[in-house]
Amino acid sequence: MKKAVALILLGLLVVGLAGLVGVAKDTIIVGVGAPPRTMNPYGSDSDANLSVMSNIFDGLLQRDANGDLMPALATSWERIDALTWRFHLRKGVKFHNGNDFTWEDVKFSMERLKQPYPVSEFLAFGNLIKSVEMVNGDPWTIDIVTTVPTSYFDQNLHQIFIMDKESTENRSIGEIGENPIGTGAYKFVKWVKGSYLKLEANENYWGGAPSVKYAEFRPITEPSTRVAAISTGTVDILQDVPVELFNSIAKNPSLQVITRPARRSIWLGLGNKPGTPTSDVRVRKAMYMAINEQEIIDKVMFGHADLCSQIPDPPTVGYDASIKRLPYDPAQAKKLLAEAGYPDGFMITLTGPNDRYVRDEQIEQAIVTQLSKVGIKVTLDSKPKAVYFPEVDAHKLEFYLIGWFDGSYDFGRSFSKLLHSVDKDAGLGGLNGSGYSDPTLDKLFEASSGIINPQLRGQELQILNKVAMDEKIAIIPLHYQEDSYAIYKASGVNFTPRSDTWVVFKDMSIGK
Amino acid sequence: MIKRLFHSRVLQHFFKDPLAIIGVLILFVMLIGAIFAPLIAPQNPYDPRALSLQDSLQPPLWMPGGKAPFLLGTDDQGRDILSTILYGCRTSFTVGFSVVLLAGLIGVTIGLIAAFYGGVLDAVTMRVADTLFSFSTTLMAMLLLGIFKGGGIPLVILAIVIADWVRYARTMRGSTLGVKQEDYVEAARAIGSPNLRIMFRHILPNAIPPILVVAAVDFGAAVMLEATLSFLGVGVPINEPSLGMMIASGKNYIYAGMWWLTIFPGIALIAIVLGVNLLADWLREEINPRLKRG
Repeated sequence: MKKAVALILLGLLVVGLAGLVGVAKDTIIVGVGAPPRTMNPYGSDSDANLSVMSNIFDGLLQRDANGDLMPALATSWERIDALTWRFHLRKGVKFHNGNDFTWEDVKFSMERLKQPYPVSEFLAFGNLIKSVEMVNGDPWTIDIVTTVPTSYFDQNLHQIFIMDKESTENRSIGEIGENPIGTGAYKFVKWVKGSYLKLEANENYWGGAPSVKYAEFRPITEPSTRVAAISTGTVDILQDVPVELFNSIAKNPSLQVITRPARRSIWLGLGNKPGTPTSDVRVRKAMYMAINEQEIIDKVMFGHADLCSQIPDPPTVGYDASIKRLPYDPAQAKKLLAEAGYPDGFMITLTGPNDRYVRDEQIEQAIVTQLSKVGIKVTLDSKPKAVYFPEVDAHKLEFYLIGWFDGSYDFGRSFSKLLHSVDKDAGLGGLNGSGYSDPTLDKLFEASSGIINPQLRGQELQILNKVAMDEKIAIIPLHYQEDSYAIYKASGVNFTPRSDTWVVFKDMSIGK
Repeated sequence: MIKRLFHSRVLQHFFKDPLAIIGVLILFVMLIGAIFAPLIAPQNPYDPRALSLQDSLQPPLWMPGGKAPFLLGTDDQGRDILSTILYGCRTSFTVGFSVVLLAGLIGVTIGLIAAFYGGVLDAVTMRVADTLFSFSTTLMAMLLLGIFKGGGIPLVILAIVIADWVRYARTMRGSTLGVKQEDYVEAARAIGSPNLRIMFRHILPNAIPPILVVAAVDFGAAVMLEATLSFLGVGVPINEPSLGMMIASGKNYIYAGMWWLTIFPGIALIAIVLGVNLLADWLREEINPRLKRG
């Protein structure tokens, strides 16, 4: 008995001493909203996954915190002609397993994009690639040829990560999804699904060894648990501060809150199948005017969002500042509905996710309330994203809430996925949830995709955007989300939020 | 026999038991509130036309910033908490009564038949019941709702009934086995009464009292289970009222200091279950005098 007490005391002493000496902090833990789905870099095109992957893998190109395109595994690049892109590759880069990075890995990776799920969710992009070849026998210069002129080709390469040919070919897809091998600044250590993902600095990184030794992603979904985690310093950085708790976090003296306007717009898709009320542009206008977005921002988003009048955000090619929101005017909305032959409104189902965007379910409920004031009876079908997004892919929704930000900063690409008439074989309209179809808009898009001059193409896309928003009311825009982060001050973490919301550990440091 | 029981002795005993009176009073108030919700509630919180976001997250009336007519404050969609609780209680009572009625009917019938005929029939049904009973009812109901999703209140009731009838079946079987041995059953058999008549005229009325206790306890459990399922997001859909869902959607605001979204529906839920359990306690003592307090 005495012995046991002595042992316990000794143990406490050791712990106490260790505490006094103090262990230098070498780990940053980030609390994120959504867990990664897979460690296969092509297995998911969600930001939650790409954010994680960007630490373990490199693309040919990368983006800095401001979103500017920078060299990565390619040191420079140029567009040779409408179809051909030339890349000069970085020499002396090694994968985490010791293999050398060569042009064969690039070729292998680009071809791997074309294999269907579960290998790749980047099918549409993969199918744009016709060939990857050496130039004049120089293995450090390659030409990538696309099947059709693709102006935004380079703009997408920061999210196409390069895989090791040898180890990828020799492993099953299951194994690849568990144990990633890249060239990135961090090496994979351990992944406990739904609990945490641990990474270790790659001392041989081509960009120099990162300053933080260990990095950890910890997915926490429940808002109150998230707040508890950051308030106690269980996590050093919390991504996406719950807006309803924003003020109580901002008031906490041990926390620092950083916000930046987000690139993601939240909007309502609306079908236009002939015979449905929403095929009449007057009805679309009426629904737009019946929504009091400022009230949603004030009351549902607690002020943490900005009005939006179109899908793209200002830095995106095709953004047009001259597009204005229709005013909130329920009286005018009622008049338009009466003119269109629906004086008593009509019934419609609003479908949306309840675990994807900031306050998505609350926004949906607010829309139901607001539309009921002009007589439109909305049935709400709010469901988990795992159930919702397959329904978007099936193009059968009448009226749906969705968010979008274009990683390649190109409204042409956005349009082709979101609003172009569905054409599976051509890879068009893949995310067109209602099967919206307008020949005028399709033609405007096709006209823009042939233009090589970026400036002219940008103008063409602006026209497409303006016609879609002002004339056709192709969608009802709501707001741009605001990105927010909370930092536990005592952790001493230096962190700058990125425009793409990715958590990139090589940009972070600890201490002064 | 039951008639006599309820007319004389029981009522006298009831008025001597303050806890039972409190229980019944609570239940009575809640039940009246639930039944007449559309008449007394200041707002119909499930009619979007009656809502306004401008009224969202108002504190209770007696707190600074409180706004009439929102006595207990409002939630994040501008629903009046008091009205939502009244409508939520309707769901609770609907589920409670339906479950007791359906599960009771099924369980009593199965238990009675199993015990009366005995043999293989008894062995099989009771083993099935034992197997079901070994799962927690919450888990069973979640499983069923997971398989048949999106059905609303009727489906929630069905799921709870499927998970719950076993309690009745086992109790009924036990008490039937006892009553079966009684002389009057033997007598009925001797004069050649058909089996059905013996079961429903002679055994059932005498074997039923323990079922009343089970039913009372089960009512509370069913109300709680519906709230649990809705809290977890697998129960009642979001556009239908439920106390459990109110508690769930309000809990995120506790850190923001907006306690009224969760606390009031929580109190309402506790009140219903407490009322039912006080009543059940009294009923148990009444039916089984050996448990009488000193």
